[in-house]
Amino acid sequence: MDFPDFSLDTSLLQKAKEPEPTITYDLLILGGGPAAMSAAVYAARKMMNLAIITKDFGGQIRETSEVENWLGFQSINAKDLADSFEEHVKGFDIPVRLGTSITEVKKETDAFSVLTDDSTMYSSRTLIIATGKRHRPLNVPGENELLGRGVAYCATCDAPFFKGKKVVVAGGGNSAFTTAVDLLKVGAEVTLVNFIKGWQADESLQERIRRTGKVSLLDYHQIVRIEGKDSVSGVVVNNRKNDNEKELRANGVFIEIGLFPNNEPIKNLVDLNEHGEIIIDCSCKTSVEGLFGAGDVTTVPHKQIVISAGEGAKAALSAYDYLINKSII
Amino acid sequence: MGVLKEKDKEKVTNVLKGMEKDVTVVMFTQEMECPRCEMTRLMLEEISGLSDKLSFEVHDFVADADLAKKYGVDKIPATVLLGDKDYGIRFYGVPAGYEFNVLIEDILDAGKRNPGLSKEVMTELAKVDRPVHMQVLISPT
Amino acid sequence: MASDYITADMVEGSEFSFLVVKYNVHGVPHTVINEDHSIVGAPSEIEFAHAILKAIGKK
Repeated sequence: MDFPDFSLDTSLLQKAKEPEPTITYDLLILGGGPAAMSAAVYAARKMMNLAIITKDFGGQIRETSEVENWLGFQSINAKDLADSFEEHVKGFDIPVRLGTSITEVKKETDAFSVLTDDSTMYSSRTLIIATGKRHRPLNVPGENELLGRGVAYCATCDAPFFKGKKVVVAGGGNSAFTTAVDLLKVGAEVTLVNFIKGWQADESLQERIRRTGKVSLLDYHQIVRIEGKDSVSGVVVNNRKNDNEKELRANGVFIEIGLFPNNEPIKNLVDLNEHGEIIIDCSCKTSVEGLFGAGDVTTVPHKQIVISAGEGAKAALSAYDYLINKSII
Repeated sequence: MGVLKEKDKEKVTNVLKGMEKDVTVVMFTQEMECPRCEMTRLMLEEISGLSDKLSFEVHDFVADADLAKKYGVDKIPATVLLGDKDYGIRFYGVPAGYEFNVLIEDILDAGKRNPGLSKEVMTELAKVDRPVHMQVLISPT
Repeated sequence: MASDYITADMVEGSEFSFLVVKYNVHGVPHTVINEDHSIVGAPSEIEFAHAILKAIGKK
């Protein structure tokens, strides 16, 4: 008999101790992706008194299936990679506040205060913001109403629900094309709709999709609204060339048009660029003393796992140097 | 040849050492057992052997229909966890992949008689004063 | 476990596809509370607690 996967991931079970609201930590790390986890490892090894606040561990790695550019592995399963990072961090016995999001960060006289969504307040002398990015929405009628009922942002998670169905993918870059590949694998009928002219994905991906002859490509089309009552029934698109609207019958829409930085808690505190990313220098310093940024939420030019890990390490070491120079540790 | 790999058996044994009190796992299957029921039963049999605080009962959905009704079980394979009372925890389908971890964690929580939720969450949940039936639909990964 | 009123089922979507259809599930995890409230995705624990209270018409 071929048994399914009955394996135990002990890192999922260890309920790490939680941070105390009464202590002022040396460092609080906000986020749980590769930048945050790398920062945690470095800070722990510098024996800093630190804690992590995050919704969960893994970050965007958990939305993909294989990673082929993490140094040391031709190809590694994304979940395994994310789990290995998490296990490494958990080996350090760092207090973690899991399953919560951050409402606000404020700078007080000698420290930062961090307010979580259940109104708990934490305090720390330095902060690393490594909250990453989330999917950019289309902002069209029907999108929010039908979320989880045909509207999706993550193909790895949700493609299987569209087996043999008609799906519209919004976007023209690598994410959109990769999503199309995932959907074709489950036998879905795919139409790609891109707002701007042409297609921006890597040539090899575009070739791969064109060669299947199974994907309709509609560039220079705008998605006007998503139709459906209990679930998606269609997508209305506007041909921007001639302003002709038509409805595409569809059971699902995957929105792959880019990402928003998760900057809400600090956007009134630090300087951001025009995309909302936290402006940092090469030491990961932000415009606020004692506050550091790492990973996709910052202005680091390329958003890649290996780069985020590097940035996290830098941010932790910078936070450490900052405290040493202030003779706090 | 067991259901779990040696490495995982060791991990489960270790984790279940954290159980302080007894937990009974009750499973509903049927005589003409479908493969998924069989898989679940064999797995549960195996893990119940890994802790002396864990016991296992198998029932037939048809023959023991009254018991199934008592537990509100309406589909199989169904796994029910009991501590000093019925906590209302049910697993429908094979608890594999991520769900296997949830099963073990739930057994551990039941064994500690503590769900491990924050004070704030417990305060909110104390306001619940009528039946709440939650069904979490998942897919095996 | 936190409340005697609450029962929670983990349901394997691929084995019980009639429920996937019944509750209009297009993405997981998808939690249904008392048949008519749905939570898509995995919110934080406190968000879950609030959703439960909302489903029974409390604060």
